[in-house]
Parts: sequence; structure tokens; C-alpha cells
Amino acid sequence: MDKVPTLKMGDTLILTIQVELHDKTAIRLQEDILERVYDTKPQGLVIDVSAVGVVDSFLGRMLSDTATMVRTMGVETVLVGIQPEIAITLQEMGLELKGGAFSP
Amino acid sequence: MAEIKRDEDGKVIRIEEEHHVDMARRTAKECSVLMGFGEVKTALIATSVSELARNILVHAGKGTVVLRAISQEENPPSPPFGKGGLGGFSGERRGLEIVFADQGPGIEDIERVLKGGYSTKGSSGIGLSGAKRMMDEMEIESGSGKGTTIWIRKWL
Repeated sequence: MDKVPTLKMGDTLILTIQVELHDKTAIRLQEDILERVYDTKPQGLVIDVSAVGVVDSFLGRMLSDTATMVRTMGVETVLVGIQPEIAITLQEMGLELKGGAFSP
Repeated sequence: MAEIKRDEDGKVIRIEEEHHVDMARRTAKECSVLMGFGEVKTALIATSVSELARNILVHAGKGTVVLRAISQEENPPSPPFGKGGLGGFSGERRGLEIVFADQGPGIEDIERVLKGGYSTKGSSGIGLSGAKRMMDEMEIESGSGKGTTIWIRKWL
């Protein structure tokens, strides 16, 4: 997989997930994000998941863990662009995304 | 309950590597959209398939996923609302059935796994119980050393 496209705007690091992630790429993505946060020292991290069609328990947990790890590094995460059907799916599944904030 | 009729040709996906799980998820999405399921049900189906196909890979190493259109006669309502009655009631419902089969170690305590939050692999343990909540129906046939077969269904 190519490196995750990130964009630093002011003090904010913006990252867009544009591919359907499978488990190994999701784990690599997590490491990439943490490295990028360390290198760029942003005030906040925005993860745009509007192109993600399915968030299952694995990906949900990975996003949640990532936000928690990023918080440990002193940076808050905001997840943006969660599609309505994904919000419903997470609720039905009983998976709560923790560690970050949300924005439409 | 009336017998479930299964379409003869289903889509078979062999699960042996990680990208096969993606393929199963994508195929489930395509089938769901083609059958006329809406966005929410499609997401619920695709997510359930993702969970159960991954379970095959993680617990058994390999197995198969079969997707098939199904139909079932509904209990005919009594007259005057029965067949040919009000609103041209067709008396048959259609749906999508997905069967996950493997020859892995099997599930020792199905009840416990269905409660959720229990995992033998360090994951969140909500895959199977979550899939049961996301789908309309789920049946499990398994036992220690017997492999596992799981049927899930969603009705249109």
C-alpha cells in the first residue's frame, strides 16, 4: 500500500482513508499515523473516513486504539465523515468507538 | 415455518488468505445491492460477512463462504387478506443467505461466544455476537473438533 496521504494545515494533521482496508494494511496504517503524528507534532489529528464503506469490529477497534495512542502522544483525534449506515452498523454490532471525538 | 428455497447457483469464495476476506465482503455488498437491499442493510450484511469470514481465517485457517438468494413462503394470512386478497399479497419473501464453513477446531461453548466479549484470540470478541445482532437469522452448527458451519440470513 502507498503511504497514507496526509496534509498538514496549520496545526492540524489531516488524513484521509481512501482505500478499503484489510487487516494488515490497517495495522500498517496505524503505525504510519503514529509516525506522522510524531514527525509533524500537530495540535490535532483529523481522520476522514467518508470513503470507508465498512467498519467491522477489527477496523473499528483499530481506529479506536489509534485515537487512544495518539492521545497518549498528546494529540486529540477527530473522526469525520462517518456514513449513516456505518453509524447504524456500529450501534447494532455493539461497538463504541472510543479515544477520539467526532465531527460530521 | 415454511421451508427455505435456495437458488441453485450461489457464489462461492474460498477463504485462505487475508485478501479473500475483502473479496467476501465486496461480493456480499454487490449481491446485496443487486438484490435490492438498501444502504443500511447492505452495510449490516457486508460487516457481518467481514466478521465471519475473518473468523474462518483466524480460527480455522481456511474454509468457504457461499452466498445465495433464498425465498420462503410466508404463513398465508387468513381470508379475506390471503392470496389474491388485499393488495395482491404475494405470499413469498426473498432474502440473502450466506453460509460459512470450515474444518477448524470448532466452537466449544456457543452460548458463551454469542454473549459477546469472549475471544480466544485476543480480539474484541464481538464478531459473532455482533453478526447475530446485525442479521435477521443465524444458525450455528459446531462442536469441539467438528469444524463450524454458520448460516446467516437477511430478508428484503
